[in-house]
Amino acid sequence: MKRSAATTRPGTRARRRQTLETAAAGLTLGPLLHNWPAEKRRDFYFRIADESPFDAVCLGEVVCSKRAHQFDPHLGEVAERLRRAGKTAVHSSLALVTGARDMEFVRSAAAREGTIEANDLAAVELLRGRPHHVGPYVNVYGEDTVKLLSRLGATRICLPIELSAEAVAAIAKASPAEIEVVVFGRIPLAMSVRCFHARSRGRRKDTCRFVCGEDADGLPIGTVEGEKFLAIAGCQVLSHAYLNLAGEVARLRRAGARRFRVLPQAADMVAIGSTFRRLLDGAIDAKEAQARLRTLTPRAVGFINGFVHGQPGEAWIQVRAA
Amino acid sequence: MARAIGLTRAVGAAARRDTAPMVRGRLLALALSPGLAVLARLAHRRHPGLFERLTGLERPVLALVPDELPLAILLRADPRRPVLEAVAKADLDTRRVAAVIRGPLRVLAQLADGRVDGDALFFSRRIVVEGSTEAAVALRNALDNAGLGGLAELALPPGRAAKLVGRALRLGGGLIERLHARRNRR
Amino acid sequence: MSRAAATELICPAGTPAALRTAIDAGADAVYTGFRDRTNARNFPGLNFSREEMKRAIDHAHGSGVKLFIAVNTFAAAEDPGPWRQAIDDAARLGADAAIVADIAVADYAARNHPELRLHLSVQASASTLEAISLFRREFNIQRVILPRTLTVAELARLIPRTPVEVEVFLFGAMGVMAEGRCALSSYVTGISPNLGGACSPAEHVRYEQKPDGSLVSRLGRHAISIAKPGEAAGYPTLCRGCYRTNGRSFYALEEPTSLNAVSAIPALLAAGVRAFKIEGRQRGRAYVGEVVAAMRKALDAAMAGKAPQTLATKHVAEGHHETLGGYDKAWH
Repeated sequence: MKRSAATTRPGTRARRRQTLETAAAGLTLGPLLHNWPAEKRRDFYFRIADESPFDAVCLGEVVCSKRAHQFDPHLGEVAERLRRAGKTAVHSSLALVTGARDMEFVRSAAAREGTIEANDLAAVELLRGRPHHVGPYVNVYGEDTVKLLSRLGATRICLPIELSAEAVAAIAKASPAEIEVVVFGRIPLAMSVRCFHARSRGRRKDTCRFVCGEDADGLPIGTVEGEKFLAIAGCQVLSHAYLNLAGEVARLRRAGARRFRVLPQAADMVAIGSTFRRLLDGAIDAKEAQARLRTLTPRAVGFINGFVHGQPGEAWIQVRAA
Repeated sequence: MARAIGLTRAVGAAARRDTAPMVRGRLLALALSPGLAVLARLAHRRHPGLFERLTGLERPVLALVPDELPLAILLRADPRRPVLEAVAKADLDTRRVAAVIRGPLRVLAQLADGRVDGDALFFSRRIVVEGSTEAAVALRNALDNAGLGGLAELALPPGRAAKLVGRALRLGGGLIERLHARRNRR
Repeated sequence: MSRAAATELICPAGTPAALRTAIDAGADAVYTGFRDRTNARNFPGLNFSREEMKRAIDHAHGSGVKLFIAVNTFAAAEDPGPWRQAIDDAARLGADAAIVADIAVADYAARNHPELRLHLSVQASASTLEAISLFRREFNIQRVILPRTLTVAELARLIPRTPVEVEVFLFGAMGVMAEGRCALSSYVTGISPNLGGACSPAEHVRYEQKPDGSLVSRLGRHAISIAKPGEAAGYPTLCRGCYRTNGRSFYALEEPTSLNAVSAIPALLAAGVRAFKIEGRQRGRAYVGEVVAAMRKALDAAMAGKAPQTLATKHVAEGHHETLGGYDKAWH
């Protein structure tokens, strides 16, 4: 039951803000966008299950249906290990679906048991009527969209990374589904039916030889003047810098975000997850969280937070402790 | 009558090879300005939409700078009172202009004409754009929409008069080009 | 699905003058936008005021030509007003269809103007039967514009099973990224087709003449391409930039190039395509006139069972290169 701000007394508003800030905040590990060797990936998820504070972990192939078979054999045991650790396994579907093979792949993902996250409207349609999640690759820019997606069965929606904090607040206020915001990792900015990894080696998607497996954190691409700029992960183009919203988490909680997503990078994700968990629990403040994150990530990779401030995504806005 | 003599003298002085470019520019600007003012009024009457499309800019002032002449033509796109004036190149303060478009007189005329794709002129490097790309794009879209069948149609309705003036302009332009080429060969 | 209904040539009109040119050159329909961020070509000095749109619709209808209005960006949270107004005006002014991408915009149109025909933009990123069916069922869309990344073979499989009319791109600038889900531009400028209605907006573009005569095209602070003296310059669209990786500088994402699918027209007609779209609302009258005339000729030839000539259009193609793009599997 929501009352408009205009009819609420100041004391009640402050109390509600306090309630939002301390309400339970979930932590999700997003889907892996990089083509790690199957065993490395399995061991990574085992450690996440055993040692990390993530309560939801996204599995599933989001980038390229060609390479999914490599990890398929391990999905079952990873999901089981997560379940035994009290964590929810969420199966994320392919982000860009073009062609029959991709569609078959999405169909099989949507037919799985357990919680499915739709990253494309084809998956949303397949999951219609059954409780499901919606991922950040689906365009959700306003209140009417969250309402409609909720009506179709979405119980949790991870919002597009392009949104400002004000937009998040407006959407969260209107959303029947739980709202999740991405707070860490290389930002997926664009994707194509063309494979850029293959292209970088003079190959095409059909003859790629899975060269994407050679870059554990994505292939950096710089400008002709030598500036670090973007990174390639198969057919997706990511930011080179890591999104880092440790300084904005409190504001996003006040805005109504209930969950926060961390994207896996080639770094100690258990420690990074723990940093965010402790921040959410109030055990450390934003300043300390930032300092920890800096020690846990490569010096060569910058931090950015522009989008949430309504600025160009690559900007870094220094935030006062909120 | 006295005005005409004054103008002719100014133009003659400007044409003398040994006069400094700045002085030439100022004299030419002086000579052209009255005509440009008239052109602006006529153009605004014939094409009110042209300047209206430019008003979204923060600073709707553009400069067109022909290679062959020591002056710049300034376009101030105020929808109530658009202004066209000439200044000597030396007197052009680029900080007060949104964009400067430089190129051969013939090419600038083609741009103003609207008959040649402005994009093509820019990307083939026949014109140079400095400053705000936004202003240049807005100007290009505005001129393109004006649907001019020739420079003369800025002021005149399509027809025989416009064709005649167009021819005169082309002749004048050709003359300027030749003078400029001769001057540079020395 | 019979081909008895005539196949339409859909042409871009960035300004009233371009619209008249497109109609004169043989368009069956033109598509336009209002002068605000409700459409994905929100460039300075481009598009139609409400009065201009009214006159344009009258002129188009008087010439037997349809007019579609693109309201194909995503309504902003807290401020859906401009998009709702655009839909209201499209209906009020008598547009033949609104081209939409956002679920929220389609929803508003379907609920408030059920008589307004809705076409689904590429910005909706709906290239599967399932996604198209969602929009059909929820909002009664009548036509879908497919991204230019499906091969001809895939189109031939998809179209017969598609419950709505299908429109595909025939000519124009290639967007290599999935449209409607690209934040490259807003990463650098804060503005993208979804946020503000423009890709690589002109206000963030700078050209820098270097002493050696080369021209650097910048978006924000980033050098996106460098043209040596005498080389053609390029607009710094991020997906068409020159980048360095593994010590090599090259077009890591896409070369500046244009789609020209004329040679595929017979196959696309056989697959059941209902309309062919020319991209280029931001291009000038000269481009529109030339391209529409050339595509009109090619389409007429193909429909008469003759081989369509790939006429000389290279000089207006971006980067002076043309490609079949995604229609050809090798492009992937």
